Amino acid sequence: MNLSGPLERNSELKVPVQPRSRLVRKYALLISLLVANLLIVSGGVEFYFSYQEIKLAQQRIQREKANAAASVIDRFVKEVEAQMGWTTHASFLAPIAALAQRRLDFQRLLRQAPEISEIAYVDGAGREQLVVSRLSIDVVGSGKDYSLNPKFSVARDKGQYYSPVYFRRESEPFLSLGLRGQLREKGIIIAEVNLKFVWELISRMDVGVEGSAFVVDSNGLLIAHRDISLVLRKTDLSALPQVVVARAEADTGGAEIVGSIAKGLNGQDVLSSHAAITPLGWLVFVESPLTEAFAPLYDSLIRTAVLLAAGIARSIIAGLLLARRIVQPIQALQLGASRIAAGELDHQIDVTTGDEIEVLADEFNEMTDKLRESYDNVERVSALKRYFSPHLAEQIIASKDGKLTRSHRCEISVVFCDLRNFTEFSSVAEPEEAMRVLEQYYIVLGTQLRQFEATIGFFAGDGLMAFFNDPLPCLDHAARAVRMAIAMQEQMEILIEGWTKRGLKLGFGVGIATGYATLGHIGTEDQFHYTAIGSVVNLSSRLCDVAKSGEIMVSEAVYAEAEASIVVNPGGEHASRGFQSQCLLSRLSASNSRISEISCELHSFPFIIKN
Amino acid sequence: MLPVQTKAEIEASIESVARNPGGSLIVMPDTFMLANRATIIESAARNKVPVIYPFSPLASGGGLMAYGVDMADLTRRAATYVDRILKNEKPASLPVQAPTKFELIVNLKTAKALGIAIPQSILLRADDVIE
Repeated sequence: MNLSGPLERNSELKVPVQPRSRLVRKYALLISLLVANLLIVSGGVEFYFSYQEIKLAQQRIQREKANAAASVIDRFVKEVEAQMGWTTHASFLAPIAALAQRRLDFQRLLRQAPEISEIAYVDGAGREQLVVSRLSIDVVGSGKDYSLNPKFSVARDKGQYYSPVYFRRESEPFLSLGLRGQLREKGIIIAEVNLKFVWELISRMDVGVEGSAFVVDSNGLLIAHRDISLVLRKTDLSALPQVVVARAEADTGGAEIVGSIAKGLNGQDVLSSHAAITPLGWLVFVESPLTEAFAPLYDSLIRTAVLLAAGIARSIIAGLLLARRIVQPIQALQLGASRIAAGELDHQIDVTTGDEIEVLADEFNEMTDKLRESYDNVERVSALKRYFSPHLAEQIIASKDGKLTRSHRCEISVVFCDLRNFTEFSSVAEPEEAMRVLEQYYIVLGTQLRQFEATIGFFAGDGLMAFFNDPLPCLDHAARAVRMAIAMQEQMEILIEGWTKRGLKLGFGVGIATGYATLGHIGTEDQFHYTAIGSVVNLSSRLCDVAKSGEIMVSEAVYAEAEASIVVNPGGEHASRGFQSQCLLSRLSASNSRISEISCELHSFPFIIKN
Repeated sequence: MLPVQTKAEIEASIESVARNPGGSLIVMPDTFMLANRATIIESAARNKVPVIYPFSPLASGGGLMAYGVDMADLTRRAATYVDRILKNEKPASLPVQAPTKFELIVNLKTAKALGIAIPQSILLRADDVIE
């Protein structure tokens, strides 16, 4: 127990946090897990929604491209029709002149519309009258019958006719376009349109870096593609899923599909959108590879992932820092507690966080103060032991109210000690000298009293009363009392010798009696002694008075009890081992123990004492 | 049909056409013709025979008319095919492509020399008229 030095406050204001603190790790983990969890959840939700949005947006863009492509092709066909329309106003002329005019018109048309490779005029009766061709010789007035040919009949009935796409010489895609004359014109103009010109339009279209656009007719046959050779091979795309879907949609007029993910013509995954070119019944497809179409999506994903990673890293750092701040006062507390436990009771835990931990630290300090107080008490208690016999002091402390049990009766052995001739000596001697003598006397007595665990009843001047068997029980209290007396006499022998040399004639006598007495507290309300009263006390006192210097006067009862452990050796003066003393154990026999009727018969027998 | 294999035969053929009144000649697209164009043009001019040539440079070189494909365009398109074959595409998979661009050249100077009046309809159709 360390109580040395004055109270010192722990001067270290900030206790450094151990880097390997379990508490820091725990809290850091907790905080970072919490933050990371929040980040992941919110990031995930955000990403899910933005994924849907971006996907839809990209599909819409694709669809727009398809629509644009469709309108371009539609315009192409409409332009051809418009051009053709210009040539139908020759009807008001006479037939020959009309023919010449028409021929001129057709030739001009061939100049202006390179996509038309042949243009024919069929009159109102269905007979071919003029063919102007880029590739073959013009035919005039052949009269070929077109009345059953849909090019004529449908155009006559509906106003225009679009033939299905056919391939000239098995490689060139062509379309026959039939147009009815306006106003009074009854005849039909039929143009053969080379669809390779559509290819030019397609190749010029903006479909992204790696995208492609193509056109299929109503049968699923490819009629235009960036790679013209695919077209010229008469590729049938009707089996492609996106084509199937688009044709179904066109047929049923079902829900508009913005775009679909399918396998493109070269096998990659593509995002495919389509638009219909009515009234031709063609379909334009615009396709972009998924990596390109969904590039913003992948960017967004990467961005989210990077932000998430950064966020988690930051959360870990924040968690560590925060945990340290939380744990610091706790560690100060723990450190302080371990120091106090080690014995530094004057250690004060310094925590100024302004929260419950500070309150805890203050209470810890209070506890330490109280602990210190109780240790001080213990010290005081041991001081108490100097005023009382140790075992008596212990019993007093142990008892609840500082008082032993009420007065009680017990069998005790009472010892009275007295310094012969002290009274006369002290009246003539200097007070200091008398005190010195007493000091030496009590040192000797005190040693023996303590050793034999006697309870001191009281002492006044040179007289001392002690007893055995209460409050400390003792089996052979009488014998013990005798043994103590003998030891006292032996020690006093030396002292008396010294005094004699100085010219002081002092002696030491002891009286011992055994019997029942009443024990308890005697004194005032504030101060009292624990002592015994009874005839045994008086007897012992009388025995002491009678004892000569160096003599131990005992009662019959004591003698009887002591006899067992003390060898009686009749004889005169004797010397025990190394001891030049004369110790006299006399016994007093009494017929009865009543004080008033004690008759003393002195029998002096010198004895040798053997313990 | 007048097959020719030598310059002398060219001359002889043109002369034989010139002997028929109102006769004219169509030259077939052939490198032999291209190589001997000077001979043909000159001989036709001397014999006053109207000739129509398959390639435009022949008309601008003095011939009366030319109607044929645009060689430059054709050559350009052929080059793309060469590129594809060099990129290990099988020639069998490459479809035959017919030309789409044709041009009609009329040389009015030659026409005047020959004393021929070119009708409006042809002039309208011509892509290029050389005065």
